[in-house]
Amino acid sequence: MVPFNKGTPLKQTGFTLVELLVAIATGALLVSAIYSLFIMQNHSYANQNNVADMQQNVRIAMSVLSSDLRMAGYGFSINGTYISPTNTTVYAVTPTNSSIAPDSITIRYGVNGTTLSAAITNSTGAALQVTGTSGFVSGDFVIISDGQNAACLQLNGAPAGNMLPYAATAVNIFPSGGFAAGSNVYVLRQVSYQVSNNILQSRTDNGAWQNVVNYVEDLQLAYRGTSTPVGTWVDNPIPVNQTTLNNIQLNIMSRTGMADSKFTGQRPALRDHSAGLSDNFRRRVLTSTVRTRNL
Amino acid sequence: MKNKPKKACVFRKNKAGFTLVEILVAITLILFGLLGAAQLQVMTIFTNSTSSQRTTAITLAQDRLEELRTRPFAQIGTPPFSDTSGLYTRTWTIQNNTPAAGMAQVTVTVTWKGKQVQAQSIIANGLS
Repeated sequence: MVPFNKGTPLKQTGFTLVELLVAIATGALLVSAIYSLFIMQNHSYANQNNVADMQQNVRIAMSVLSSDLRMAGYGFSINGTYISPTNTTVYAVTPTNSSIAPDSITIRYGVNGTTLSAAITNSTGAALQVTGTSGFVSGDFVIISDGQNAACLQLNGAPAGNMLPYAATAVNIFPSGGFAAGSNVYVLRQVSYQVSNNILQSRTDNGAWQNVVNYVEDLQLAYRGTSTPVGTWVDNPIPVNQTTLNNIQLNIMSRTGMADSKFTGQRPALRDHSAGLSDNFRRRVLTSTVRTRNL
Repeated sequence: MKNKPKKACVFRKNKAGFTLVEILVAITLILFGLLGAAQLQVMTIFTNSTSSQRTTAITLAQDRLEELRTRPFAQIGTPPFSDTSGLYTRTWTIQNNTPAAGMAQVTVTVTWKGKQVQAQSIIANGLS
């Protein structure tokens, strides 16, 4: 029998079925290994990204809040208070405590300082004579302070020359003897902080709430004064103690933006706010004390 | 003609393809690559965790500095000079009259798991 391919060799190259199956099996093994590694890496990447964000958020919240809280009472009286145009005493810090939700706080301080160039005896006049009017606009509340006493007036007109026109008060709110030339004059700044829907928000002078930091879940504040009992943190100081308040404890909790189904945690208790139900979020808590220098 | 030895390909004989050894070497190489990538994730988790611990530690240190500022100047050097909070140990030292009379240099050191952070500040009498 003459071989069929003799003289004209037909090349029988290629894979056998068995070879193909083995190659597919090996390939599938490799692909599934790479795929599961990719899934794992992707999961880990998303989680760690969230964790890094969470840690950054809690740091930012702490930094923003502590630096602003340190300003509380700047340019006010020796007790960190001032007399409002309606003749009531206003404190530099107004805490709002909650045991079922995050706390909030309002702080007040003076900005854009200038000085009186002439003494002023009472608050029923028409204008303040100052050395500079930069930063003052009509409608601003201004604080006049000689370091001992402080009073608040509302400007009712644009600065003219070196004069700041103000709305006369019904009764004289100035201390006896008024304020001497050289007393400081500031624009009153009132800043509030709250946590709403896991976002730390702030607003200035009762304006609209602005978002400051995302994924801040809880803010709990405690206060400590020089009055008795010294050294005890209270969640809700009665207003009179605020004049001798000199420490504010900040407890800030942030959580990851996305839940991780492979992780179980719960919002831990913070101060008087009890713990939450179990869920799938990671959390970080930072606690720091602020010395309120101006109170 | 039939048994004429081929010149090239001593190992491969007459079949093209890979040997088992070659496959194993390839798999090992790929494995090293994959393990390297996995190690990267472990590093990320570790770094994130360390970063969190450092933040907590430095907050503790700053907290103590702030608390010392609250005290009357004469009581800055009142013991104790260390405390513990969880796995963090906090110690602080007071150097009186440094860098000038009426000032104190305060160094707060927080140590945990063989790591440490340090915060330093100067507290002046009458200022806080």
